Amino acid sequence: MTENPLKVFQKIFSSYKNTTTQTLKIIDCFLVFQFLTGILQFAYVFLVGKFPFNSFLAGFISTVGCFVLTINLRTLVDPENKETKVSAKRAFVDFLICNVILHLAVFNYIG
Amino acid sequence: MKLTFFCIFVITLVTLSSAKPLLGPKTAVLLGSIDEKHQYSEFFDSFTKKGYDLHFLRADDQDITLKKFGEYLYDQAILFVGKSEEINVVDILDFIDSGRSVIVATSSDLSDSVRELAIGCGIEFDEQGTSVIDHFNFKSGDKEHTTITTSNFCDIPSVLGDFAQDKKDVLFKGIGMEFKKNSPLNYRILVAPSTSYSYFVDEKITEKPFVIGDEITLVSALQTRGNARVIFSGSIEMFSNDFFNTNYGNSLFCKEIGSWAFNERGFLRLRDFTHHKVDSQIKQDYYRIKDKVEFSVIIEEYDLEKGWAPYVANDVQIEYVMLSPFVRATLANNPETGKFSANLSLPDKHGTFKFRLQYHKRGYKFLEKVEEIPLKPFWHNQYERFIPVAYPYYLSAILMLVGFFIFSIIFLYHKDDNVEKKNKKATQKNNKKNN
Repeated sequence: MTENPLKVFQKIFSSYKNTTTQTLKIIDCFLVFQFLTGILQFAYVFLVGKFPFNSFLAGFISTVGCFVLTINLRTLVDPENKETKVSAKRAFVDFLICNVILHLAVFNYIG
Repeated sequence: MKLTFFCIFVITLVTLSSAKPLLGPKTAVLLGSIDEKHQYSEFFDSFTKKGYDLHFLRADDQDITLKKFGEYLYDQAILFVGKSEEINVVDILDFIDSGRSVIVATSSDLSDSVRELAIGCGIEFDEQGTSVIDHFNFKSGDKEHTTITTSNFCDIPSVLGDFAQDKKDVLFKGIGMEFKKNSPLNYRILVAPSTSYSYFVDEKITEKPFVIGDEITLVSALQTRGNARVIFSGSIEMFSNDFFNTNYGNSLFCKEIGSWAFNERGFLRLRDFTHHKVDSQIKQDYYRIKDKVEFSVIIEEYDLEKGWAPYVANDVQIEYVMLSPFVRATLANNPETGKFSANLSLPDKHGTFKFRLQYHKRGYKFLEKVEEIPLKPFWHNQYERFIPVAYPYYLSAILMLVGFFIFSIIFLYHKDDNVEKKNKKATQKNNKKNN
């Protein structure tokens, strides 16, 4: 019984390594990094309190927003995704523009 | 030579005695008959000495007018109407509404018009014919026990004046009043002892008297919102020479309350209501939240000899109000200039605020002044920047940006071997199929 969960995880991990392309792996790294930063900020707000609430919101939204945009990029770029009609280049340009707008807003609000 | 010296002497006398009653010297004195003025000569003389110009009129006279062609002929009035004289209530209430003070004294024989005047001022006298009777506190020798002595004075130093230091029992013979408890503008000056009651003298008591004990007010005062002062006394004999010339305190008491009624004490005015930010002297149209503002006002009190003299007190407050006061500060007093000032820290909330000075001290004129000034919130660039607590948030936003750059470079320029291999496999498969 205790072995099974371990084996399950190992199986997931190895199949992940084999089936995903490197592009997707890079995107996944970035996703993990954004997620961790967001969690750290949230823990910080619990500890210290909400004093510059606008700064907290700006920082948190920057991580969450980037996370969402990166996931969008991943869905559009994934070769196993057969429903999209958008080319990888177009997906990347969308990602670029949205990120610029997001960071503009973040740095204005972070005060 | 002698004539010139005499002229100079007279002129200096006149200028030295330049005591000026506040509103003007003309005082109407309404009596039952002109001869009665000798009975109250000491009381009247105390006013004449101070510069008042008394005009003695008969109360019953139908031709009395206090107002002619819209202008008032007199600045104050004294009504000694204790013998059922009918007075023109409407005229007198109008006189009071214009800010002019009146002293009203009556007796057990009061007429209905005097009762009506009193009700118009918030006081109810007992029925005609009744007296205040006390079987324990009366002047010795009085068989009916209607000349009572009392020492229940009010606690208002401005009204009592010099009498407050020298309190003695006061003689009273007359009718009692009932004081409505909810009147904020009326004050009880003299109250009967707790052993007294108000009833007809020779009748057996068959029902509860109108007022008993401490509820009986003997002398009361009204200060209207227009700052007219009206004194009602149930006893006209209290002001008479006979009562003055006893060992009781009638003389000083009556003179002091009379002088309060005629604005010789406790009449305030304010000027120079200013406020500005603490460091600058410029008067602004608006303030910003969390500003520090210095507020100052000059309050003066009218003195009969000195004119307007600086007011000295430590309980004047200024409020910063939007629907309810957000900040309230007690003003610090400068006794020489009469300047009251304080520093206020304006609140966090923006809106339309008012500086409000409301000074309602008993025995003093009501001072009210309001000035409305908006309070604006921070401009976009007036907030604090680079707060140390927020450094992690700044760091995370910068990291996101940097990560985004690095990621996009890697994403664009890396070589995906798996995809190439798959493509190669796919093309190989296709080639095999085609072949």
